[in-house]
Amino acid sequence: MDVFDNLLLGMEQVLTPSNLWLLFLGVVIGMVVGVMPGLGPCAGIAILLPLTLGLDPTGAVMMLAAIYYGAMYGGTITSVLVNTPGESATVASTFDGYPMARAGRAGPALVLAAGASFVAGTIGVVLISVAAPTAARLATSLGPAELFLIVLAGMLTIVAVTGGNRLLGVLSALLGFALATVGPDIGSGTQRFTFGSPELINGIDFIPVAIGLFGIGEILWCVYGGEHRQEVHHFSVRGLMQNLWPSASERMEARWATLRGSLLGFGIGMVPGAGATVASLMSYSTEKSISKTPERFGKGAVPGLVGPEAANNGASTGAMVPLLTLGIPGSASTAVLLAGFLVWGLQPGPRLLEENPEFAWGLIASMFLGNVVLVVVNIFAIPVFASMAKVPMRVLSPVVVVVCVLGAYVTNGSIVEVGIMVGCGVLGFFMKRFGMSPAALVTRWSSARSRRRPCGRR
Amino acid sequence: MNAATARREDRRCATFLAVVVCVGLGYTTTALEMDWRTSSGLIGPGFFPVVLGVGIVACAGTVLARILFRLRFRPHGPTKDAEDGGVPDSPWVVTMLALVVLMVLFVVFLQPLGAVIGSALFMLATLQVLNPGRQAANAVLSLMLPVGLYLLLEILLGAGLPPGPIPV
Repeated sequence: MDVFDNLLLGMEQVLTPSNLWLLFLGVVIGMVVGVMPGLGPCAGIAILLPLTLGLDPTGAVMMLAAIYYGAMYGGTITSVLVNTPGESATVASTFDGYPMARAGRAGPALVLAAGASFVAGTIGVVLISVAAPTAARLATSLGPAELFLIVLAGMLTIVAVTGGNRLLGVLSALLGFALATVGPDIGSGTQRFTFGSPELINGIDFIPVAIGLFGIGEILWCVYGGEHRQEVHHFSVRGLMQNLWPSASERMEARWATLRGSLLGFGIGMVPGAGATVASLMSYSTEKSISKTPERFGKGAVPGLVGPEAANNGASTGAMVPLLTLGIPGSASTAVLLAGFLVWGLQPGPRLLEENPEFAWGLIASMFLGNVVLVVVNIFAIPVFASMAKVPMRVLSPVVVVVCVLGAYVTNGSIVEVGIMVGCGVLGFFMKRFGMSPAALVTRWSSARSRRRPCGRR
Repeated sequence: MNAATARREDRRCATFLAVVVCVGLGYTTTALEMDWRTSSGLIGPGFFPVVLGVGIVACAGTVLARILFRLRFRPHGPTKDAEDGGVPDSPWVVTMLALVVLMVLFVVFLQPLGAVIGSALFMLATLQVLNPGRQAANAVLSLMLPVGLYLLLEILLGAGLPPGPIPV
C-alpha cells in the first residue's frame, strides 16, 4: 500500500503540463542524441546538462532522466539499421537486429525493440518502487565501514567490467578520486591543489569535466578514427514505413525473452559498476543457451534482439536503485545524472526517500510515464529518427563542439572552466587511446564529490 | 598489429604513462606538504591525497615498467597493453590536431568575439577542415547553428552567453 501511495505522490508531481512537456522533450532529445553517431547517453546528458539550469529542479532532473533512457533506446535504432551501436550497451542489439534489417524486417525489429524496452522499463519501475525503499532502509543501518566496502566493491566492479588492462582501470578510478580532492577539505576546510586560483576554490565543477571527457573526447576519438570520412549509411525510410509491424509469431517469440531480459537486466543494473552492457550481453548468451534453435542466433532471431534490449532498459532502471538510495552511480551515465542531482542541491543517499519524497517518487513515476512516451514516440516517429542516423560525422563534429563549449560556458560563466573542458577532452582522448577508462574516472569522481558536499547552485 | 607497429605503439603508451607518473609525483609532492593529521587528531587534508598519489604512481609505474621491460628484453613478445588502446596508427592525426588547435582558438577568442561570431567562425573553419568542398552548405550551417543556439540559450533560457561586439 505504501508503494502505491508513494507512486501516487510521484504522479502528482509529474502530472503537470510543464513537467509532461519536459518529459516529452527529454525523451525526444535523448533519442536524437542516441541516434547520432559517436554520441551516447553519457555525452548526451553531459552536453545537455547546462541547458536544464533555467528549469525547476524536479522538471530538470526528470528531463535529464528522460534524456538518459531516450538515448539508451536511440542507440538501438542505429544498431538495427546501420549495425553501429550508439554505445556499448546496444552492441548486443546488433547481433540479431541488423540481420533482421538486412532481411527486410527493420520495421518489426524496431517495434519489437521498442516494445521490449517499454515492458522492461515498466517492470523496472514496479521493481524499483519495491526495491528502493528496502535498499534505503538497509542503507540507513549501514555504518561507514560497510559503506566503504560497498563503494570499494563498486569501484572494483567497474574496473573489472571496463575491460582491457585492469591496472589502467584502477589508475583511471584513482585519477577520478584525485580530481575530487581539488578544493576545500571537508574536515579542516583547508584548500587543496587550488594554487591560489579563485576559480578552483569550490573544486572543479563536474559539468565541464564530464562534457570534456565524453563530448569533446568522443569527437576527437571519432576524428582520429577517420569516422568523419566514412560514407553515410543508406537505407530506405519509405521501406521501413511500409513494413512496420511484427507478425504474430514474432510477438509470441518475444514474450518470454522480454520478461527474462527485464528481470535479469534489473538485477544486474542494481550492482554498482555492472551496468547495461554486461546485462545485455548476459541476456544474449542466456537466450542463446536456452533456445531450441541456437543456430538462428546471429541471423535474425527475435529473442536475440528483444532479450538484450529488455535487459539494457531493465539495467538502466535498476541502476537507479544504488544511485537514489546509496548515492553510488552504477555507470558513467548515472554518474553524470548524479552530477545533475548535485547541481540541483539534491543529495542522493539513504535519506533521499524520507527527506525528499516528492522528488524521489516524482522521478520514479516520471520513468513510467517516460516509458509510455518513449514507446509512442518510437513507433510513430521511427522514420524521423532513422533519417537522423544519416547525419555524417564531418558535419556533426563541429556542431557538438560548439554546443559543448557554449554549454560549459553558461554553467558558471567561466572561461577557465571552458578551458578545463577542452583539457579534459584531450585527456579523455588519450585515456581512450591508451586503454584507460574515462567512465571509471567519472564514476569515482562523482562518488567522491557526492560524499564531500552537495554543490547546490541555488 | 605487426612487430614494428607494436613497438611504436608501446613507445607512445610508455610516453603517456611517463607523463602520468610525473603528474602523480607532482601531486604526491604537493600532498606531502599538507598536514596528515589535524590538531584534534583527525585525518588531515594531506592524508587521502598522499594515498591516492602513491596509488597513481604505483599503477602507472607498474604498467610503464612492464612496457619498458618488453621493449628492452622481449621486442617480439605479446603487446597486450598497446593493443588495449584500439586504433594504433591513424592517418587523421593532423586533422585531429587541427581540430584541437581550432578549439583552443575558439576558447581564447570566445569572450572578445562573443558567442555568435566566435561560434560562426569556429564552425566555418572546422567545416573547411572536416567537410571541404561544400562551401555554401558550410556557410549556411555556420550561420544557422550559432544563431539558433543564441536564441535558445540567451533569449529563451537567459543563460548568459558572452555578447562580444554585438550589443545585447
